[in-house]
Amino acid sequence: MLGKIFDIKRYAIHDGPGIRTTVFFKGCSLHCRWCHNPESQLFEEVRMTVKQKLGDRVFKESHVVGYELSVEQLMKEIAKDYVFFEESGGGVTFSGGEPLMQEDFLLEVLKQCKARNMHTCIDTAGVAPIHHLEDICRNTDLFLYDVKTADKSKFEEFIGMGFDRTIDNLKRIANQGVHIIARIPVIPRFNDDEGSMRQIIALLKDIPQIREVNLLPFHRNGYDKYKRLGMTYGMGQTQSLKEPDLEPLKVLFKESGFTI
Amino acid sequence: MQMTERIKKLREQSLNAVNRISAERALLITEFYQSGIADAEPVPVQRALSFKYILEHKYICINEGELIVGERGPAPKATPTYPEICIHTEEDLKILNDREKVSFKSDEETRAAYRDIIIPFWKGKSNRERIFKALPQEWKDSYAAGIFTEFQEQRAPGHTALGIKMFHTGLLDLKKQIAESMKSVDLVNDPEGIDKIDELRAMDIVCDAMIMYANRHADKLEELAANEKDEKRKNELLEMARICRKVPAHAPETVHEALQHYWFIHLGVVTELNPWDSFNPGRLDQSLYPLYKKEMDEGTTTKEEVYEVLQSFWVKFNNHPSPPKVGVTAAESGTYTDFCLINVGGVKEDGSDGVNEMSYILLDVIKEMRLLQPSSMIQVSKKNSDRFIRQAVEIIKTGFGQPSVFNTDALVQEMLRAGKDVKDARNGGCSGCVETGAFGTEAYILTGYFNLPKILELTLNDGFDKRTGKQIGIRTGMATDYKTYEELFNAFRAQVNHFMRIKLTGNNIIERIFMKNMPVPFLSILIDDCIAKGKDYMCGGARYNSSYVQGVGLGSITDMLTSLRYHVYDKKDVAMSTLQKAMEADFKGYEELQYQLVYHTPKYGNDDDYADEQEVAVFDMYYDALSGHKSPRGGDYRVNMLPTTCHVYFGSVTGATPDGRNAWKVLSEGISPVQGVDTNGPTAVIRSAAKIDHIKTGGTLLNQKFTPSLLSTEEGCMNLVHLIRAYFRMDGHHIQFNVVNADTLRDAQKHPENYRDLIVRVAGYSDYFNDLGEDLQNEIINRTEQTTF
Repeated sequence: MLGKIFDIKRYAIHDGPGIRTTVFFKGCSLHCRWCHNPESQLFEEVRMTVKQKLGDRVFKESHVVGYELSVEQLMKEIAKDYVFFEESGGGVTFSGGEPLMQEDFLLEVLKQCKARNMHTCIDTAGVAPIHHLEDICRNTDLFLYDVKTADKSKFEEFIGMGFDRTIDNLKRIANQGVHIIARIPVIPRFNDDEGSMRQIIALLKDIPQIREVNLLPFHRNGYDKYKRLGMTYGMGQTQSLKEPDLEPLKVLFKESGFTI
Repeated sequence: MQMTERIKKLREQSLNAVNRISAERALLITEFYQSGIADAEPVPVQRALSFKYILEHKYICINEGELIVGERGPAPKATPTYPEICIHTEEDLKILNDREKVSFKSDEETRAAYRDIIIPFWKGKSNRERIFKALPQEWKDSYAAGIFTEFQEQRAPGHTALGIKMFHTGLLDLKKQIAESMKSVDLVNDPEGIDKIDELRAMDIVCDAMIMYANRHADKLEELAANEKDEKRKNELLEMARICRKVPAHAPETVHEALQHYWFIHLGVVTELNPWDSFNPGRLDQSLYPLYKKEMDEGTTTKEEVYEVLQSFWVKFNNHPSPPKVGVTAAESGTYTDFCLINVGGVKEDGSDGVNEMSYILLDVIKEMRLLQPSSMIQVSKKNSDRFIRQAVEIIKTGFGQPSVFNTDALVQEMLRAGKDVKDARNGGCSGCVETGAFGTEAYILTGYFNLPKILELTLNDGFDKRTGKQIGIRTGMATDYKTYEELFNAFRAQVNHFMRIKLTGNNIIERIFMKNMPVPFLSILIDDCIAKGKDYMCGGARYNSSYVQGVGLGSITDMLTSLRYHVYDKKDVAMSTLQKAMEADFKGYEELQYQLVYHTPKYGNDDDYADEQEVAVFDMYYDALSGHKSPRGGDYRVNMLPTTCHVYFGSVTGATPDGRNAWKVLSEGISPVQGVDTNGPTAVIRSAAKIDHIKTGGTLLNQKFTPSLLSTEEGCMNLVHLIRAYFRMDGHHIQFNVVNADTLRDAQKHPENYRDLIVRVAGYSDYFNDLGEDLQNEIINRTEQTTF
């Protein structure tokens, strides 16, 4: 069985507990305007220009983003940092793109990771249909679940189709008893106001299993990639947020009893 | 605990003191030898009497407010020279005075002393002259070509640390041992008997000399006390005088006594000669802890007092820059640091957890003092808690490159493999940059750096060095003659063995010269079993003797070999003749090819087995070239992998290389990857670095640069702890972290005036960023900056 990914990052320390290897799956049905991995959106390979300096000269190349590999090949890469996972309580995070869009491949890799006692984590927006819910959940220790907005029309305007499915999947996963951390990207003029956050809080309160929330500040790190892909950057001149900008919003979640 | 006002003043005084040459010691030793009073004595006794003469006559400097007394020169940073080892010519003094980095100022009076008295007397008699006279031409040619350096041409061997035992021993105890040893010498049947008697006599003289020197401090302290108006300071001076009358003659019984005891010993070692790595108190936390605990239990001291005396002790190290170096020696070790490396943590001699309350106090002192010297490290054993490492990370993240982190369990294995007793191994640690040693029982002498990349350059040119225009290697053929990668590698091996033979021949000549002419009776009394054997430290008196040739540029040589194997022999997309031409042209006109070499070739440091195969092969080959040889004093030759600043010098003599590196640019340092090519993050670097067998070495050095953002959260700090643990599970020897933004460094380059206190990790030690040469500054900026992933 083959899967399609576009990157493997080692010493990923912001995608779950401990020292982790994050596997970035290719393909996502959403197209969030603020997406900082635009090269991940299409399932097909894309070309991205890369500029590299050598002395004063700049070399320009066109790189193919995305490649296929087998479960065994991927496991070999993941296994390299096994000692680091053991020492740190870390493991593997499957991100993307949308990892659940390659469910069969993901499930096989998850099983193999679990067979080797690795901590597994899925970083998802939950827009794919999940056919093997129980199997996936049995082999996953943690979901980092994107909750971008509680407003369906806004979702459709800024992100794409599938709002109902993301909420439904979130509930289904929660019912399986897997540890979930809701991750909320805080995007200026999209959801960075108190009202939007209160809506999200109301939505999350509906799912009592979810006690933990991460707020992720919008950043422009993806800007350069859009240029290199020949795409238009959807966020215009919007400036990056800083941690302190999130403080008032964090208070709202704390007041509602969430760990943040 | 925060510095008190007077410690702040002492620290400031130390930071602001100008590094300058003091002619005092050179004049005294000249006077002594000119007088001819010891001409009839054997060499060790002459040396001992000259030591005594210096200590009898040198100025006693006591700085205002300090608690630990004794300066090597007449004032902080007034730095002596050692004309019996190396004469500094008038031109040297001018260079030292005028050079931009690591300068030593000298005034007219000082220069006159050298010109009129010191130079005329020593000319033709210094050890350096003896050495260069004795070395064969092929050694000189290789040295000039930059194949290797020589540690002992301007400085003496030392490279050792004090054992815990000496913190419970007074010099009067040693005098008794010396007397016993004398009694046991068999002058009828032992052909070395009379040499032993001479050596033991010398040892006895230096004990008395040091006790006399301590008493001179006591006299001066009492004198100062008599004139002191401040009642508190008066009592303090009297207490210090009492201590100086007690130690080092008798074993210390308090923390204050122990630190003064060590400091006199330290001064003795660095006054006797100018040994590498100055000297080192070894396992300071373990040595001090029993005294500290007893005092605290009895209520005779307070934590505040202990901190203050430790901080005063710290300042003393910073007052003592490494003795002035010139020429290649200055290039290989371009720093004021004199490599005293304080060891904290690790295990006790019974193998149990060695971390105690004093370990944490010392970490606090390191953090608070934030001084270049002494350098500091933590020993981490599997028996130590994460809490201990976490505490060290708290200092590491402040970004001054200290403490570095060592793997106790690997050190012990390294020493056991080298045949040491397990107790001696556990009592050991690392000194200098990363050098493993059994403290108090071993002479582990570094002899010089070895330029592996340069030797590959010669291998590609039939042993001919284009820069110096000499045929210095053996004639193994031109690059295009090697039909397979194996042929090429075998030729490289033959060249390495050839130059190793030249280096070791030189080493043996030099070691004999030191054995005959430069015994060190004072250092010898400190290291077991010199007294029992009646043998000098230089002559194999230590229980264990090791000698090192330090390999430089593992990352560079790996990438160079990988490039050749990958492009020329495996993929065959680059013809050797083209590559040769490109290197000759320093890649001018071959930029596309250079780009391929740099960006589209497997590189060491990425956990890529294709590249790392060359790493292991070249390491094993280097190991085989060196191990099994023995030095004249009985030292076993071993490898270690560290560069100090020699990767810059070695780079400056090495032309363009097959990994796409331009001519004369820096090489990689230690076992770190070539600057900037490690793009898979720190775990990949660590996995690559762990592929060589560290246990076969006496030290490796791995440098990692982290941005502060990686350590801004508790989780981030703990991940660093885990990273260290994982590397050490793989038997990694050492890792150190530079926590600083590249932007900060660039700004510091532009506005050095704003960054006078910026200390960065260089290679096995930290240094002021401003004191580094521009190429080294650039190199540190270019080292991969591990950011958030």
